[in-house]
Amino acid sequence: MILIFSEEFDASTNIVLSWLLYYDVKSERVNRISASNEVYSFYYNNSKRSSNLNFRKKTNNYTIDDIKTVWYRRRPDLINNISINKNKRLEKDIVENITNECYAIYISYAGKFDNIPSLGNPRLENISKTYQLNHAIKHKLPIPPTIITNNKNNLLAFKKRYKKIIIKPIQNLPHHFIQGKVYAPYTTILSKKTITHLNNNFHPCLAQKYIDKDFEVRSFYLDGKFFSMAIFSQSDKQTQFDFRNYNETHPSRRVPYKLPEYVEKKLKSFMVDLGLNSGSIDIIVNKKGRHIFLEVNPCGQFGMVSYPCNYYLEHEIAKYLIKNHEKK
Amino acid sequence: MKKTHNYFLLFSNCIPVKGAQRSIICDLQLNRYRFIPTLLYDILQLTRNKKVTEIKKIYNNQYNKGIDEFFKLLIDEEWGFSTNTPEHLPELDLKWETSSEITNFIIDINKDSDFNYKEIISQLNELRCEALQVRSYEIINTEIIIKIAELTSGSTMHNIEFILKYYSELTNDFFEKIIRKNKRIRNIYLHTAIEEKKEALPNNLGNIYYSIQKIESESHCGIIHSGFFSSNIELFTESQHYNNCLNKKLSIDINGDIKICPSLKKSYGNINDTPLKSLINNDEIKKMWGIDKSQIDVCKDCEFRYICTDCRAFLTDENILSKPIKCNYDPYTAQWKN
Repeated sequence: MILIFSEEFDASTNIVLSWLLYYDVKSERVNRISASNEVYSFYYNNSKRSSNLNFRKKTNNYTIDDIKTVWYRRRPDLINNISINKNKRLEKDIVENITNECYAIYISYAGKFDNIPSLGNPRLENISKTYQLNHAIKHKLPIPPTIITNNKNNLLAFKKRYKKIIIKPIQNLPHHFIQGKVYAPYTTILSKKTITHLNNNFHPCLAQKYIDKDFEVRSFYLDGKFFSMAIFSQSDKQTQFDFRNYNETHPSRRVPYKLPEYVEKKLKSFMVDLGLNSGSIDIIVNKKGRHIFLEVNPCGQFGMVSYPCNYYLEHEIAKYLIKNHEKK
Repeated sequence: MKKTHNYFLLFSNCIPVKGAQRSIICDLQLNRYRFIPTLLYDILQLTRNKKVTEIKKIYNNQYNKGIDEFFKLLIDEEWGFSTNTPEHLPELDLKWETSSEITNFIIDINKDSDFNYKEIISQLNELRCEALQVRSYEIINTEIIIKIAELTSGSTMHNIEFILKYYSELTNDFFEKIIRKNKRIRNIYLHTAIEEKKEALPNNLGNIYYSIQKIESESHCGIIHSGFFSSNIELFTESQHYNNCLNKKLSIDINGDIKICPSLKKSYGNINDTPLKSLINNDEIKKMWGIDKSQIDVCKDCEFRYICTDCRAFLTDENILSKPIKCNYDPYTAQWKN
């Protein structure tokens, strides 16, 4: 049995599941870990002989011993259908507490499956950008000059040195929906004018040297293999800084890409060192053809690489998951 | 072209296709195509392995100006780009795969059709069918629609479409109610309606298309028209290997006779006594699924062959490999009749 942690509306999971059915391999998808669960029962017992954590579907009995492979596709939904008034401090706190508890349960399961093959790792899903960049340096991957600062003079000095700089979130930030518009923390050019409007001290921000790119690369890493896509977005102003600023009438061109072997080699040792066997890697190729590492998203999307490049990554993932698995 | 770059490449999802008289480039990302002369088609076959200067030399430098102009035009119109590293921008793999035994199923219903829907849907689940189309040429009871909507809600089918003969009970409210319970239902087309209109259901529940056109049987299908061309990866890759109208499709006509397409004459048994699963390895069905464009008369020389769906039901003659009769295009003269 293959256990899959995912979200209810993740279409990529659906396609992988369909391939698992094609190979006649049993799987169980968990979209939600909630406090009062109607579908699953949880049981942990720390007796003298052995500590035991159990996780069972009520309708379809299976135990942890039946699980041969785990895929941590996405963190499951951690909250119940509790209706709350978000303006009330106490209700908000309660929901936060329950969410934290559910997260702890999720992480406990991950620990339980440490000795069996898995794809993804929930304990690594939020590796910080600075940690990643330090590791990138260790593996000799070029990265953009980067600072995190809360000080105006530091930012001005950085701007003076590199002329054109960008800012982006230090960690992943949620999108905001305000009056029908989406405000997302995408990469943005930081002008001198903006900096001069800042106070001397402010909430820390991450700034990087702007890289004059030839194109971007999004590479999906799966167990030592790279499935890469080049994104040509420079010709279009809207996507010049961040290709996620989609332009519906003028989308960026997305085509298959093969990373140079020396880049793949460094990236592979980087991923192995971090303990990741899958993830979506962002790279910029500058005008001189240099491959500059930006970041890896351990739970990154692969559908956006799979379809345009005709890679059938969902099939590749299914094949990886059943590798250690006999038929039912 | 940039002066420092030696190679010109089409984006690998912009693929040239050669026709008898002229050629096209199919842009599989932006769903567009453009005509090119066959000479340029031949030149474009060389760009991956030869520098622009080398290509010019092959043509004894006769076409230097023309080649420069064409490459500039293709870059300006965003079909291609210049580079020094063509080896890192590989061609698109044109493989086509599916995890489903059948991808599409059609149920044709008349007022006398009496099917065991529960049984049919359960068989389709077992075959991991992805899409279902339900069509009626006569007024059918709303209970049948509700039943199919209920049965498919937890199924493998994620795209369900109804094409129905309009009557007063088929209101927007009626469809809103059933789609709210089963969001896999994407589009509703009502023919023989009083007026031509498109109505959007609230909360993004989809559209209802009303058409005054009367559809009385499955013979309305099979029209080949440039308006139906679709330049995308799925159709283009499937067309390389399989029949892009029939592949992985099965259906039942109003009598429950199992056919690849309801418009085809040949039946492979009745749904009441023939399990669909028993047909997926049927040699004749597999042969029909596999009739790709390279086997079809005239189509095999047509520049539109990978962006145009086929029709194997209404043909110019008895030969199963003859051209669709409802196509008015002649690739040898590059002319549309009418």
